[in-house]
Amino acid sequence: MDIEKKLQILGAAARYDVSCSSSGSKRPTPKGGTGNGVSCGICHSWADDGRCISLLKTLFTNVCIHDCAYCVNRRSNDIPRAAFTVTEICELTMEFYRRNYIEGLFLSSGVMRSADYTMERLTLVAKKLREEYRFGGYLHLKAIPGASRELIRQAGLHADRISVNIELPTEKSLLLLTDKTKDDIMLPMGEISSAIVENRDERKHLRSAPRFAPAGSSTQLIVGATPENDHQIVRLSEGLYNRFGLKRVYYSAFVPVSSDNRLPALATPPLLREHRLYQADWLMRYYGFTAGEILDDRTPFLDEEMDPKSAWALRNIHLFPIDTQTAPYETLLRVPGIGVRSAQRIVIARRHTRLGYDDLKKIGVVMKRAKHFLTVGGRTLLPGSGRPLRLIRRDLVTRAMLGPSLQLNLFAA
Amino acid sequence: MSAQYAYDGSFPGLLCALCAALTAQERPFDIVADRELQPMLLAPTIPITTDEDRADRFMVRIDATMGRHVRRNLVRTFLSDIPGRELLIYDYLSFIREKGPRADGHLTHLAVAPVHAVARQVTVEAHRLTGMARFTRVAGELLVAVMEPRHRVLPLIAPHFTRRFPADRWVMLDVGRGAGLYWDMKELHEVETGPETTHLLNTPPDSATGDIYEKMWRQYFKDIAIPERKNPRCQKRFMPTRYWKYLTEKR
Repeated sequence: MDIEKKLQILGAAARYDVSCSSSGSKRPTPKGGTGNGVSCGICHSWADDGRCISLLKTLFTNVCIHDCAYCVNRRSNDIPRAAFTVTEICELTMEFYRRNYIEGLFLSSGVMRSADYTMERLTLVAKKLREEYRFGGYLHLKAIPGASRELIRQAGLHADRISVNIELPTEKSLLLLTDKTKDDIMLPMGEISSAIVENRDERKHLRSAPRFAPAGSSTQLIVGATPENDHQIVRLSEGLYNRFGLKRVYYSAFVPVSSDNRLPALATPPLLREHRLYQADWLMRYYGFTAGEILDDRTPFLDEEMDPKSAWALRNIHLFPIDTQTAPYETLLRVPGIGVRSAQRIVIARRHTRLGYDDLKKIGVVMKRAKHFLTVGGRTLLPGSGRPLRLIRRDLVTRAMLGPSLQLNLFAA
Repeated sequence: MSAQYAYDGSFPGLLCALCAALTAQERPFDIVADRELQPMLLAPTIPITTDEDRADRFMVRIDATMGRHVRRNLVRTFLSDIPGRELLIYDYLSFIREKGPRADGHLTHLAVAPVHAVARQVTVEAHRLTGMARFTRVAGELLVAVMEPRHRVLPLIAPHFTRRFPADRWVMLDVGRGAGLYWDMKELHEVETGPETTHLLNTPPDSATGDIYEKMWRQYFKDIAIPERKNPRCQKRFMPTRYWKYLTEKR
């Protein structure tokens, strides 16, 4: 099979891997080599589904010994199979990179023969790119569940990021839909995270110590294939951020790829739910929210009509309004309509002047939402005082629902 | 009557004009490049001679008294092709000279906000094009990237590519302005798009050279999208259609 045909099969097979990030690694161009890592990351293109393309995202092979119900590459699926050679992937990466199509390579794989055998192939690709091709661009490798510690440690020495997909939010779901156990996934994840921590420590004492996955680790889970609620998912993510120090958790709306009766029959992928989960995730990583503030047992699902910060602010209306001139940065961040950039800009600009309605607008605050939660020098931004909650709510809704939500009823039966 | 300053359109030229205008007591009527100069009935025109040394000294003074971020905003606003950018820069500098270096944080002030907005536009486009510049392999081993940016971003993005591809010979062309930068594996040279570069531009976009990697990239670009999630609006928001003409995967 020629390389063109292989890329067609293996590129398409990798499209359900979500991660695209190429940030967090500042790697100099090797002497006499090609490519470097830029810490801010660079997107090179945007595919027809609106997702960015930063890395050449492909599988090494789509041959797989596993039979996970949600996965296109499951053993029982009758599809064309292919596998790259190590050299083919290296050439492809270098040639795409040189034309500035990509920041680097994101290599994942089906499990061929055994976890270790597959992991070894991935590691070989990374090693060859770094040592023979003197490639300094971004490398993201997937750790194959069940692969040995030794191989994972080796892979991390060449890669910028190494990650394991958690796939499903609970072990119960994992056991239902796959032949993997929680340990298959959590052990490598723990291994990676402790290797990263040890490496950071080592480099404090010895600057020349080789770096282990300098861009950290991430994971991905499928949303909507199993009955977990959003509360369980945000709590899981919070735990992953805190315990394993992950850089990102990616959520992937379940796209039906088989008619297995263990899976729900969805007409369309739950994209809005995925979107709200990402918003909640951002609240935890950049806005200082805890999972418990975003959702609790009484509100197990995110509001589909408005973003999670707005929903939180409505539930906690007694904390508002806050004053634009004096509120600390952390408090400003909690106002609907104020993002990280506008909060930073408010903090800078208010030293020079009292910020009125138009100033805030100029700074980038979404006043439609924010006006209900702010005062300026003690004065409200709205004519009259005290709005009924119903009116505030109307300004916060970004996507009015036409009927009862589909997702809530899906697993009720 | 306040005067109109005419400079040669170069960056050192602008610095000399700014220096002269800031020394005078009056806000200039305008500062314009010679090629945009229109004789005014009421405003006398003061021609500015570009003096590199004077420009350098002026820049050093800005760094020292106003800070690096002011220089950055100045350079980026100059590289924009917004009409009236010179006067925006003049107002910005004279405001900061009066209020001190921290006045750059007066984000809503009329002398500051426009410069920040323009500088940001230039920065955004430069960042975008570090990702969306596409090299095509032409005769021999030369790599050519053709683009038509809104702002003059070549000098901002070229250093990124010299770090990234130090061992390749490449050229980036801004066809809208007929300007280009060529990397010979040692340093950057300014080139103009003229007879000697037309053959580079005439390399057929669909590549009669039959570059197999271009073909594979186009196919890959199609395959990587999840059909059930098609979202052209989102795609266009991040990758405006004005850039598509030179994108291997979109043309």
